[in-house]
Amino acid sequence: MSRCNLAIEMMDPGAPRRPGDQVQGFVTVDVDKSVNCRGLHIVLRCMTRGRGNTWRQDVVDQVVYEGEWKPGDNLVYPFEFDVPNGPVTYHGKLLNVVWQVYTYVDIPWGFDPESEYEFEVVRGEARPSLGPSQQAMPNLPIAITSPSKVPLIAMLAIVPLFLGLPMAVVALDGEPFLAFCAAASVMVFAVVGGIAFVAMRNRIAERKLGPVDVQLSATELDIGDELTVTVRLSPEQAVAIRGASVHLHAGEVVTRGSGTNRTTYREELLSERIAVAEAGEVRGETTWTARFRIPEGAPSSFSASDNHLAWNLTFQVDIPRWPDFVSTTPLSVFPATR
Amino acid sequence: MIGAYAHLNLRMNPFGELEPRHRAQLAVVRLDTVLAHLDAPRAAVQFVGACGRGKSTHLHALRAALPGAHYARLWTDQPDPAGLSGTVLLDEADAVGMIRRARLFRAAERLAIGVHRSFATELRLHGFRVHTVHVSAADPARLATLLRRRIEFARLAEGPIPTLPDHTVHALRARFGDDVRAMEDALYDAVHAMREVRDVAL
Repeated sequence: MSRCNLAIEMMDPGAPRRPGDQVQGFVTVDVDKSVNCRGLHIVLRCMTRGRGNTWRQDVVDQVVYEGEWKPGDNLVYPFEFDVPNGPVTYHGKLLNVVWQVYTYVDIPWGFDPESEYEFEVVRGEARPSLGPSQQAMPNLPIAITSPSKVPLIAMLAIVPLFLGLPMAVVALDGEPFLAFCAAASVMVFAVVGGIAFVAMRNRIAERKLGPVDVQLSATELDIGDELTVTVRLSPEQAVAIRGASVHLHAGEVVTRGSGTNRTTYREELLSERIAVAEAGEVRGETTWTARFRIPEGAPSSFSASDNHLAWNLTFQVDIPRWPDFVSTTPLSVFPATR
Repeated sequence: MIGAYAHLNLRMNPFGELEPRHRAQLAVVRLDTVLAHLDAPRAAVQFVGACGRGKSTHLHALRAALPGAHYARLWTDQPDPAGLSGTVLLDEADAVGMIRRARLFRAAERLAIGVHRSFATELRLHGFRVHTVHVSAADPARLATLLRRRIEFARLAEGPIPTLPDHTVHALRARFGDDVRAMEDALYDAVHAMREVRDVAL
């Protein structure tokens, strides 16, 4: 049995809060045994819950009492906080963005008694914060190449093996150190080659397509807004393509664990693809346009350490027997006003 | 009261990632032998086991029991383990380079480490008396207690909450062996799919 029990009572508990609204209530403390309270904290907290590592931000942390509590004490401590401008509450599968009033007693040499009360934060007039992370929204898993490119990629993966295997066979002849060096060289070659391919892919594709200009009407959008994507290219010669498409997608991306034990989980929430060109030839100055609407009820972007709700737009041209052109742009999608 | 799992009378999905202090609070571990061993200077305890078996949970529980101890783990905002002394709890010690590890082993007075393979020889070379704990959730009763504690911890209010029947625990053991993390992943999805309070089924 704990030495004291904490409970939170909220005023107007079920009501959603907008930025600038107040969260009011009181913390009750029932004391069973003598407690040396190093601090009764009442905290306004935004945090993530779900499959990823927990992120949390204590917006306000008030210490409302320090001292001794005696058995039988029943105490009440009021609180009042202003709700900041986001991020808004979100409940998904892998990720939940939660606002709560959290209270705990700092007790030396023991688990701290604690209690919490969750409330909902929705958008106000101004666009809210989309989370604290300065890091870019991660790309969601998409096919970075068309299925038709699998033989090409496989060939690129086999080349290092052909280079490395003879080295390894020679080196294995009684020279384990050289065998290790050979294996390491193959791995380095494969990794560097892979990175170089991804980095150079669009430049190689543009040797056929000419400079490709992908323009978005906006990269910061509200739910319900329309997004227009315009692609301009002018190949010097006619180029055969298998097709070109624009892909709008959103999903949760969370990471659990650290170091060698990190696992990233992804959950796709929205995927909408518009084909802007069918299989055929592209010649001369060409313009493709695609229009999307950010659907009502879709979630807004969020980004904190190890916890993201990412929106991306990907434009892709599939060129036969040649690397694809792939361009991905992260979007910031803001919640709708309720 | 709001929340994604309020319909199950839960504050959160019980099998999501927990903060370290809550993992320590919910751990089903016996530390009396370990604490007695660590009472003497130059004593080391190693928790040995594969990923997801509970090495970090043991160290977090030890951290709660030894408030003066330093906890360190690479790739996090924890302090550089090589600079620590006194009682040190080092997670993923096998990922720390040999030179930094040697500096730490020389400076630490008491040591508890989480590792995938035994470091007994290396610890003894540094003058430690070594106690080894092979971490596993093979005991069904202990496993059931651990998982049921997680559900109870997520309780929102008085009243019924989802229950974990014995047959589900046995099914988890049959499918995942003693890999608690894999069990948590399966249970996370199972609870997420529940629309009403009932037994958790895979």
